[in-house]
Amino acid sequence: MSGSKMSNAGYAGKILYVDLNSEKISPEPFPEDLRWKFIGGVGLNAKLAYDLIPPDADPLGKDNAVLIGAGPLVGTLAPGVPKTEITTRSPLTGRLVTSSTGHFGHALKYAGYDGLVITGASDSPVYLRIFDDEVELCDASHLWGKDIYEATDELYHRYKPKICTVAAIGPAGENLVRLALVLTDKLSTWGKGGVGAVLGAKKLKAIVVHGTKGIGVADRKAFRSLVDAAYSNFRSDPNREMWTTLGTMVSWEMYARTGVAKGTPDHDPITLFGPKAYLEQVKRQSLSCPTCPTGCKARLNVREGMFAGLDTNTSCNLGGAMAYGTVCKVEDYGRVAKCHDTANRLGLESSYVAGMATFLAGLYERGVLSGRDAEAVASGLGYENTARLMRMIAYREGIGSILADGWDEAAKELGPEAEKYREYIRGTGVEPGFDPRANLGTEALGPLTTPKGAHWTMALSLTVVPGRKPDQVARYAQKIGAPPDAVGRIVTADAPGRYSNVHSGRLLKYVEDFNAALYCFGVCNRPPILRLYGLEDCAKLFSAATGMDLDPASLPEVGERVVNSLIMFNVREGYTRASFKYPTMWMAEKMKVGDRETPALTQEEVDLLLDGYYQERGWDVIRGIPTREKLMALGLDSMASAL
Amino acid sequence: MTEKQMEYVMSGDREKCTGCLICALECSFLYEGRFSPEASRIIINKTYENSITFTSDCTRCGVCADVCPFNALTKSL
Repeated sequence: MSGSKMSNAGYAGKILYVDLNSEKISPEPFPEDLRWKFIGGVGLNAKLAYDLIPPDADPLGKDNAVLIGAGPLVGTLAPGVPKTEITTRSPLTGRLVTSSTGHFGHALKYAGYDGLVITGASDSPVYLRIFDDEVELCDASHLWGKDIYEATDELYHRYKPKICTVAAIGPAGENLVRLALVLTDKLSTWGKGGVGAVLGAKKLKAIVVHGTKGIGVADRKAFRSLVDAAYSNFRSDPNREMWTTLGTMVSWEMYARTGVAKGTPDHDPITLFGPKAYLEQVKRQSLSCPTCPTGCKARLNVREGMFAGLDTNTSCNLGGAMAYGTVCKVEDYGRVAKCHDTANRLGLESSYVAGMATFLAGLYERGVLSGRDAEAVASGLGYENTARLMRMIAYREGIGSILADGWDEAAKELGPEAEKYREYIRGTGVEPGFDPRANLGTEALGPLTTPKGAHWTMALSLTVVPGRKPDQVARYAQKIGAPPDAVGRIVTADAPGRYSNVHSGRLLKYVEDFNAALYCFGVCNRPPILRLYGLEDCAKLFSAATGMDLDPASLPEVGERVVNSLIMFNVREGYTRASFKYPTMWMAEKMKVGDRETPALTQEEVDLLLDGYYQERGWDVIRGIPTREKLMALGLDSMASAL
Repeated sequence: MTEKQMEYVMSGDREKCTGCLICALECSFLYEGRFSPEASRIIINKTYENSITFTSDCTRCGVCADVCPFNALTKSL
């Protein structure tokens, strides 16, 4: 390792500490040793979250801290590297949550900060204004109660002609709904884990950022050359135009085939909400995150029906169409767009709405809800009931007041029958994403191991497509940093689990480490961008931007360090592998995928895969947690002392 | 005369603009040596649905149109 520039080369150079109790605002230098060990973004957040959030702190209390981190390539021209992480203790799970948005970090970097640390809580509603070195807490009483679009527009208007970036919560966050999100620039989400409620508990309505400093790079010529090569690589992707046109809807048919976008004969989501319908009925124009040439997000405009003329934004139309169209059985695309608009404004996370709807529908079928006001909502769902459900949850009305606290609390309240029919892992609603019965690749196994729980982004790999050839998987494993002996353990005819010739558990370790490393930089994980960035690409861009000579071979260890740090947050409070199980119905029931039937999972199959994962990690296999030796080897000595 | 010294008539189509800011960042990197939409001579304003304006400092070099991934900018003589 050699060379380093302390500020405004890749890194802005400072971490901004804001304490809402004392109103103390302190910009501090971003220490060089932390840059080497953790890079930035989720890496920096992992370290600071462990240090600053006490064990067992109330997620909605003053002791919980919020970390926001933007990596050293965010805000530069590296294509598709805008992702900015928020990390805190989740009120939905009690454990760590970390979530990333495409619309925030660039502004934070231009204002002069690589990270933002928010501690304490305000007694009255405030918003945080960050305009370069001018940072202040402002009265937000006039914004409190407004929906996210209204509050954001007011802040845009207040500070014009400056063009600001705004992260805001809506009524759901204000009402401490544990399904609440933060919406950034009315488009991108910090969605998971109820982070909106954490800000709501702090009475922090919004964060407004405007920066004029910009970001420099250490070696302009080298950086220019690397960026040009990345753009050239991007343009060579035969799928990129399809991604611009359809966004995440490119995957619609695949989800339908693997059975997740389940429908009924009278409500066939493949036809009603597929790509053709999307383009004809609602999509108006493509939208991008800053620096991304893909443009996979969208502005929607409803062409006809009761919501004709409605304009709204979507970060992921696939998610909205599945949540509202498929799961909530909303009748048509115009109504789906309206649901999405409502969720954005109220500040509710769409897959959680769908998960809660699924939960209610199951309870209703089993007679658990009789006599309760949720009956009307749960029977058959559809637009009217879904819209009512969202309002009930966001404003804690009727049964919404129970549902607002998440599945665990709702099940306790609704009785033992409800306990049996929860469709969840670790207290969060299951993503309508990957059913392991259909395809047990890394992204289906990942929800059992990922620190924030029940989510797959850190586990995303090529196994998202079933039936990959062994040599393809071997090449991929090498590319992401698996050493040769590990590749031999991953790609084998003896692999347990139903993904042929691939030990998904062993592969998952390297996938998580690779993805974690990329997230530290801010790389988006949607395919048109993810394919541009291997370990060497990231290291070269980093070195040219920062003047710090980073060896690409060191990056898998950085990723491993970050994953171990994130998991230690939970381990410190008693997490073990016994904490996490798939929903029992997946273990008990076969599943129809198209015209074939897949067997139910067995605990043996799952345990074999997880054993391999923990072995590959060098962790205690019985408990599924890091060992002291592993943590010391990663330079996480202070965390080792917690074991 | 090199292409960079030519002056074009610049225009933008906000229906095609995705708000990626690549134009603004290329401009600021070229002329100011850093990435800063504030220092750019092309302004994309998301609060007005990706309105596209060129400042009085814009030399109408056309580089922004060359780099726009979505053909939202045109340069003509």
